Amino acid sequence: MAVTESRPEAAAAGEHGISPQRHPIVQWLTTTDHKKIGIMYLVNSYVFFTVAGLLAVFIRVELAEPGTQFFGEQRYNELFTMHGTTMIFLFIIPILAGFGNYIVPLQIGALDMAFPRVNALSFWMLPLAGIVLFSSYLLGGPADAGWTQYTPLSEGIGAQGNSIGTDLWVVALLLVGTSSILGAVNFITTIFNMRAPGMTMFRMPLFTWTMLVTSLLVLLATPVFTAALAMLFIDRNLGGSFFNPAKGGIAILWQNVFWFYSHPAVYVMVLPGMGIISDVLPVFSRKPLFGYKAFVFATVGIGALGFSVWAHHMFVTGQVLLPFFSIMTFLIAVPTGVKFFNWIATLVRGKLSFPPAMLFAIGFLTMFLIGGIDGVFLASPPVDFALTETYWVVAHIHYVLFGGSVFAVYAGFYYWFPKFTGRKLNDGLGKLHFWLQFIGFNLTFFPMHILGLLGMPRRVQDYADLPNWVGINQLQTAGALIIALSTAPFLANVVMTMRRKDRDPENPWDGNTLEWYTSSPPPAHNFDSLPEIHSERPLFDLQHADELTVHADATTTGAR
Amino acid sequence: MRRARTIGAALVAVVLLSGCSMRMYEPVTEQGKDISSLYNVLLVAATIVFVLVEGAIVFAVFRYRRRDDMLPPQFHGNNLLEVAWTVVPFLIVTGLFVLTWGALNRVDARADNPRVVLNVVGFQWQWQFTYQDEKVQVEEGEPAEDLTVKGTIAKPPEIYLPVNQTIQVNTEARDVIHSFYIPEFLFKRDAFPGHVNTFDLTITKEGVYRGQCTEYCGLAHQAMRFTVHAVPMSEYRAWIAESKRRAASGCPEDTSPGQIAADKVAFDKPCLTAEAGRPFTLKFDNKEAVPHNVSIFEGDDENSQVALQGEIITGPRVIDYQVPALQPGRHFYRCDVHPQAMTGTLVAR
Amino acid sequence: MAVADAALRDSPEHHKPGGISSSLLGMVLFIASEVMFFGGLFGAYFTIRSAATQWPPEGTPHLDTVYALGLTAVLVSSSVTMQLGVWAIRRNEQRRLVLLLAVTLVLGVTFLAGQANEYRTLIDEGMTLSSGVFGSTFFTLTGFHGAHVAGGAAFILIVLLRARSGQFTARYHDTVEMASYYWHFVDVVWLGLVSTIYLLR
Repeated sequence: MAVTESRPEAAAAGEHGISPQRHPIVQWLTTTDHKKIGIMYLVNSYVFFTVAGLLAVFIRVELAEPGTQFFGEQRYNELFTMHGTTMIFLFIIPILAGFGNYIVPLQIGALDMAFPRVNALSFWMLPLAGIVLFSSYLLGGPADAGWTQYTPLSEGIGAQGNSIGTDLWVVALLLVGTSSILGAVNFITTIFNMRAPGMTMFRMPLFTWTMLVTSLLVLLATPVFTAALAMLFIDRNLGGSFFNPAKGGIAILWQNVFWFYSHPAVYVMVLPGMGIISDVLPVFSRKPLFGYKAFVFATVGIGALGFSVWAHHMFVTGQVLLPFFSIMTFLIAVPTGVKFFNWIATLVRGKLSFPPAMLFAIGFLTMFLIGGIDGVFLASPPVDFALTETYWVVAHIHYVLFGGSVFAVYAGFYYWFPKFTGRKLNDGLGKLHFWLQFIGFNLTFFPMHILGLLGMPRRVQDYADLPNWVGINQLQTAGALIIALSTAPFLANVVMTMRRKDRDPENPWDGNTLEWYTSSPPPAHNFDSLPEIHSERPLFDLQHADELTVHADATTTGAR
Repeated sequence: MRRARTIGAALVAVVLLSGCSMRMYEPVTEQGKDISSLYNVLLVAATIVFVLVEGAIVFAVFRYRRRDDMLPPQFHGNNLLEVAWTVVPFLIVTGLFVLTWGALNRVDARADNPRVVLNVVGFQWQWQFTYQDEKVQVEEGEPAEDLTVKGTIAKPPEIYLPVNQTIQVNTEARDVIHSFYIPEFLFKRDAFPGHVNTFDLTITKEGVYRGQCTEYCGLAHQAMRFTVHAVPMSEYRAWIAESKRRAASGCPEDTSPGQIAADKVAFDKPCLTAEAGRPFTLKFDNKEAVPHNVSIFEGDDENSQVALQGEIITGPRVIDYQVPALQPGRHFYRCDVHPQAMTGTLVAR
Repeated sequence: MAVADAALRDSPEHHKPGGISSSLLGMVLFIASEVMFFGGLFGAYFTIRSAATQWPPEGTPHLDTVYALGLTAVLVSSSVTMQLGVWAIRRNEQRRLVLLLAVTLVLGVTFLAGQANEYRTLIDEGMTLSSGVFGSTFFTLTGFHGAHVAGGAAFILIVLLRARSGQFTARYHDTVEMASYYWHFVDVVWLGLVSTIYLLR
């Protein structure tokens, strides 16, 4: 049962038969309150973000010059394997679930998630998975066949590196997968069954919608990855031959099962981020999200289409039906485009202000656009034949995952920090953080398009000593160091702000959605009362009812 | 407003400048021409979309800055716009797909009678190239073999191919997945264990082209390089003839008989010469801290009996192997620890 | 803690009129994820089968289809008894529920024993996880299914014990419904397995 700090009567609760205030550490370890669990998700994920980021700095430092300087081949292979694995499974997927955990029940007017104890279990599996994964450093070496672990390399066929590291990788990801699936069951049930009166599906905030679609993707795709991991484990340790051609297995089977999950997974990694942006932009434009229903349909469309494109990661294997996967991949650009146009239309004729949350949201728009565009090149198999497995792909994935998801995560942090703590983060430090990160990010990843065109392959720690290549790599390393530097003002900001004794207003941004109706931070039971809900902006309706009668809606065919 | 315009101009300049460096290599194959043209179409489309959309965002950010506290008009949406910006992109991507399909059919087309058939085998961590039907009489009484060029990490293979001829390439792998990639050809295709990939290449421009494995395959992935010399037909035939002669003549590469070294998971010689019928000493110099040995077989592949199974040593260390008398002819040798990457032929005369 | 959760679940939000209760919805969603898990394994099976020149490969021990159909009869019967139990508690017949749960459990355990027996026979004939691609797919698919049957049986045991202490009524028996959904799912997967591995070949 959740114990809270904002109920003074709890201390005297003993005489009422309610358990007395427990030690804070015990509270946090045993909590089933979605808000505390959400915070733990955020903190745990951010810790792994910095760890994986450090691995990235090591990678870039090694790549500054051709030849081997600091990390030999084996160490380097471990670096990029652990960087990718940690970023995807221990940072971006859980941190978005963390925002979902804290915010979704508040946005729909519920008092907690549907299954609070399962929620706690879902969280605690994550630090455990992290420990399992990183224990490999102490047990002979971590996994080293890339986060994609293609067979037969990952089966230990041929001259191979770290055996136990790969098995620990499998176990860690089974834990993460289970955590995700249980979380998805929780989110879907909560969203379907626990909405406040008046909160119809088409009045839910976009962030909640994206959490719903994301959870459906997690529910249906992750178990396929579980099957793949089980088969890999059986091949590696129990003499199985699923993926071993020498024993009748099929090497490419792994890629098919793996990407069947991992492609929908990239939408898991970005849709909630798009939900954050869709909540943030209207607030700082002071007008509704343009085309709310279109957004919902586009999100659902992306989710559904996302299941049909997986083999575009396999165009050069010579074993996939190229035209089908090409057209489906091209088509996914359409709902994504719809979202972009609607976001821009939200800004147009608005009254924009730019606190850090909005800066990061605009950063998301400008950067994710590039990632989306360079992905379209890869949708075309002939062009893919030239560009895949080169740095062009590294550019693409980082523009969508960093330029997209990470910028969205920071937008969410700056936007909801006052909700979590009652205090706004400092604007000046936030702007410094944004500009350092924006510059460092583009310096690191834009030149990778050119490197890819020049033919530099991925996953190499030594590269041809050609003049362009060295210069570009050095530029990229400088950029990576700037990104690392940019986290300093952010962390300093958090520490400084948490130390402040004073509080900021409870709805500092004039937010539209229900989470801003209650106090910041909310009480244990979330809401003392609920307003009437008539639209997707219940709070806006409440605060600006009189102004709305002055400004009639300018278009008659608005989606409401 | 003026600020927006200067920023807009700067953006256009940046885009144009980077557009110059965002070109692919000049195509040097028939297939490359199709790929490059398609890429250029995509680049133009991408640039237009980028300028328009990014421009719209930047424009909005400056134009609609908040200047007062009044609420703006609360537009909720516009169904006509939604239809428009769904249908138009749909038509654009469909068009791009149609172009893609055409190019794909041309790039993946296969001729019935290729002039050269090149069988490429990848293994950890080098390549082997076999010219199908270019027969070499390696040993008396034995069937002629296809000419094979094999590389080592220390000595990556250099192969010759004729320009303006259809070359059929078949790729396969012996252990894990590798990928056959020549950046200037704008082309790559995976090499799989248990599956053969086939494609055609027609090189249109003479030159020397770098190749590299581009599917992560373990420790020495980045060392799996090779070079292709694209030459006129006459020069190609001359090289084939010369290679056949060298393959059949024993081992002119062995300038210091009686010794062999290992470094970077490779022998320093692809073949050895020795006198037949007399035992001899083979000095083995392992230069690296990786275990290696030399095992010599009676016949010309590993399925024959072992004549010498040398002690496995970890370097840097030198050891003398006492090799028993060998029959005249070709004897396969290899490192037992790295049986795919470290092989060679000892010619006993 | 449990009181608050029960309060949450019995609150109006959890029993929306015309909606499905949260516990049942949660179980349905969980089952959906399990369907996808088995889907991945079946997908692997079909891929490997379609690439093989001969299926089952040469040297594979003969699979006893009649025996498998016998096991099928056992499992299907247990689904019938489980469903009868659900109908019983919907009519508030607590004693009948206990009886039917017990029969279901016995049938389930019988299935598991039968499966173990078949495993022993096949292993004696040389087919194991490591004997090749057929052994890998066969034991992985049936093994994970068996594990799910075992889990389901454990769930039914718990439900049985709770039923015996009178915890279920016509109004409150969601857990029994949940167990029945899961058990039927396990049965359906078995039908898929039998059709694929034994009948279709």
